[in-house]
Amino acid sequence: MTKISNGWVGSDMEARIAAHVHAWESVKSLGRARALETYPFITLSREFGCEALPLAQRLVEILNERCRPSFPWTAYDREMLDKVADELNIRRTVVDALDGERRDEMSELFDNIINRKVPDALVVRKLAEVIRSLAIHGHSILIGRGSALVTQDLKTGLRVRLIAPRDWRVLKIGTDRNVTRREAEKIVEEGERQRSNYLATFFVIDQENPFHPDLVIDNSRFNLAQIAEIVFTALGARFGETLVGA
Amino acid sequence: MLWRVSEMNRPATSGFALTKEARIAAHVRAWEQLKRAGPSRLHQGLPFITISREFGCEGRPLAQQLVEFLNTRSRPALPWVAYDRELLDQVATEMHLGRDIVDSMDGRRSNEMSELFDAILNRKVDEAVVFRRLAAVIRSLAMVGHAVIVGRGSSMITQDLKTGLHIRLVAARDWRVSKVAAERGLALPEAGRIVDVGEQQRRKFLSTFFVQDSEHPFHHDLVIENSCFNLTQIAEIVLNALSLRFHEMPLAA
Repeated sequence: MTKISNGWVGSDMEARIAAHVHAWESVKSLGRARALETYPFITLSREFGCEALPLAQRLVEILNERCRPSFPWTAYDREMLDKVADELNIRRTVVDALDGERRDEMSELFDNIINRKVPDALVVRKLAEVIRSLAIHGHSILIGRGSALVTQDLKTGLRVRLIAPRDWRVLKIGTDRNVTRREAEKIVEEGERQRSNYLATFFVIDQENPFHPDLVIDNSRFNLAQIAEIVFTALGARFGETLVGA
Repeated sequence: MLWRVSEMNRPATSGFALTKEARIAAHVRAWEQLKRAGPSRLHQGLPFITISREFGCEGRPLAQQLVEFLNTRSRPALPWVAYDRELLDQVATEMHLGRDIVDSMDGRRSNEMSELFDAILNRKVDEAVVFRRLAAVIRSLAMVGHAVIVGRGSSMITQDLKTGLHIRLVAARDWRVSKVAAERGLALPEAGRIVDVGEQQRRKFLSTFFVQDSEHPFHHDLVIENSCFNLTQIAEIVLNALSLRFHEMPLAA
């Protein structure tokens, strides 16, 4: 399920890292003339059991095929983001490209939204730096890990959330993983609990001004191709023809 | 590319830019046209849209924009009509406007409606009967199709119909306050009060007339952050979703 040139996400970690490196080689070849915070990015958050990963894959295909970007769109799921954050040389390539002003802005935002009082705060901050840097460089689809929150002030982002009724998600997990309904219910419950815990533990949520994604789509009401088209339309509506060949 | 250039500034066809009388006339015209076409034209699965929104979002202008786009681009045999609270109330209370629409439902559909309403409408409030009539009108308009219905719990009243696209507009309170202040020429604190009261009234309306199912909360098909897109962009996203969901239906009807 991997195809390096298109930056697909898939199950093979090595190929996905290769896709990332390939994307970054393309970025480097553009040199200093390439402006930061110019190219759009997408964040995907989702209720457990929704199809964020396949959606990211589909979007990467569509965007790379239709828009023929100067450097490819690449999807980053949780595993991939963790890998980029953990590998010092890759992380440096991504984060060190930011200038001083953008680093200060990042620090200021993170001081406000990342909870510093928990044991793993530094690890999460490091991951957040990677996510934000990938967003600033653009043409990234960032899945989960609070990516919408850590990029909330960037003007070049489209923040999408997938939701679905619990029954639909249970059914989907049951079918996808070939487990009984009861097992699927447990998996959904546990998955949902872990996600809520992650956000509640590591982020300071502003109850007065809750964060709104730009677009929330009910996964049960559209198929994957339709959702990808809706997101593509929203991206086009927001960023217009600048997407093409950018 | 897929993205269309804006078709703004066209004259409104059946949107809210028209006077109330003209909007009622648009509704009557569409309905008369449908009746002339005979019973076979009724309930043939034409799509409809519901729009709910946080107070201060652009629900009505969006409905207007959608109706303009849909009637201009697809030139449907049955024109799209936008229904806001005012027009819905008028259609529901004036017998000659509302009766035909509700009566057009056959027995099966009527029973389905009763069953749903028994489950979701609160029968223990004073105005329950009046609201049930309004709900019947909303559902009937949706079943006929080519209606963009704003507010009044229309998404919940039509939640089981397969031909609906349910949209919700949301935005941060600060944005909605600024918008209301700019539109009504008010100071921010005053606009803030209007937004809070308006939002409170909407919530009260829903909690009074509907039985909320916390186990199975209603999900809209699309929730769009109003502050992140302009009206034309939102309309394009909705039209795209409509077209994807119902294939060529909006364009071919």
